[in-house]
Amino acid sequence: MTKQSPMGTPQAAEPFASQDEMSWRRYGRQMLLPEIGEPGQQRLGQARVLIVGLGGLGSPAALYLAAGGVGQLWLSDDDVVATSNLQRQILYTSADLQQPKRNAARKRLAQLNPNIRCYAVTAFAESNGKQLLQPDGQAVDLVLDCSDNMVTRQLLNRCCVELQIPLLSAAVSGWQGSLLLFDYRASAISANEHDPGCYHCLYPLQEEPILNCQSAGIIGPLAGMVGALQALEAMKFLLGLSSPAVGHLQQIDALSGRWQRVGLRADPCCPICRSPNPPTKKNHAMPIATESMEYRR
Amino acid sequence: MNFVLNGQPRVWQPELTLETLLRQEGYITPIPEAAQSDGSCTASIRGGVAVAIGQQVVPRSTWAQRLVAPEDEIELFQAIAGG
Repeated sequence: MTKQSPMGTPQAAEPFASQDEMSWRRYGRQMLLPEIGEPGQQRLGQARVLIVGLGGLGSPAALYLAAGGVGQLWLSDDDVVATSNLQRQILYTSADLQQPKRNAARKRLAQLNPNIRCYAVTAFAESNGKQLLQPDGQAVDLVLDCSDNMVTRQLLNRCCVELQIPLLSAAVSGWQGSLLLFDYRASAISANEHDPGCYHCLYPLQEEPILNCQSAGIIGPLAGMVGALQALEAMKFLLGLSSPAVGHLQQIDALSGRWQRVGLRADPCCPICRSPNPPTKKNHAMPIATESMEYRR
Repeated sequence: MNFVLNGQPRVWQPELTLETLLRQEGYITPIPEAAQSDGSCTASIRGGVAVAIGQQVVPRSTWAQRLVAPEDEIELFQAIAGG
């Protein structure tokens, strides 16, 4: 057990502790799992994850990934902490009110686990999207979509498809929660018997669904549960463990307790992932809105 | 003969396509242009519906051709975007 100082903060690790000893001390409980062990923990330590949105989903997802030793986390959000966030966004306390979420989150995660690196970055947008996905020139291993709007979801999907970066997308609204895992790496797509397509195949929407957290409300523990599920699937993915979440839509109705899981299928007409030529910058301007109109007729 | 929509039995009719069914049920409606920008139109969430038959999503572009078969179990999944 770690010795506690009078202030209740853990004492600094002994200076001569090896990396392995440090890992066992902090992550031992998960390293005991035969699917993880030392090699798995090293793998997590080398992993690079972008989290888009630091709200009800991003809070638990970031906390668990940091606690579990995922080596590098990029934290993307432009909002500041508001009182109405604290009912479910468990990264923050009342002392963080009016602070930029990305800074408060980075500080909180560094306190939780000083052995990982966290970077606070701006919100995901058309202008900086590809840069955020390749923050130091190299693509991240996985993106967590924890955002709160459809525009960001579609943009993130399009960029991930184009750069072949795996996307783990979660959403909550009212009593509903959903989770989708798309492995956009070329190797994964060619290995898949049934191509699951992309987020746009499933929901070719550019406008907002009428129900969001502001209008439909949201119960805190549901966001916590779906965000934690997102962290769990992220860790499994980074460990290279096979998961039935890949290529599936999972939907949870928290009121009735019903969980559903259905297999995804690519839409042969999807302009995002079926396009014979990758979209160029020029036609990025307004493609999704126009195309979704055709679908609705 | 029946099929099942969101757990509820429905009377099956020949020549019923998925698209016609979704239109009858109000899940596909035209969106007034004026209502698109402020999200005030209920049609937007209806446009954001995915359909699965027998645990597999049916691609949107095939809805017009896909005939509803007796004993199909159809589930609708509405898009949500909150976080």
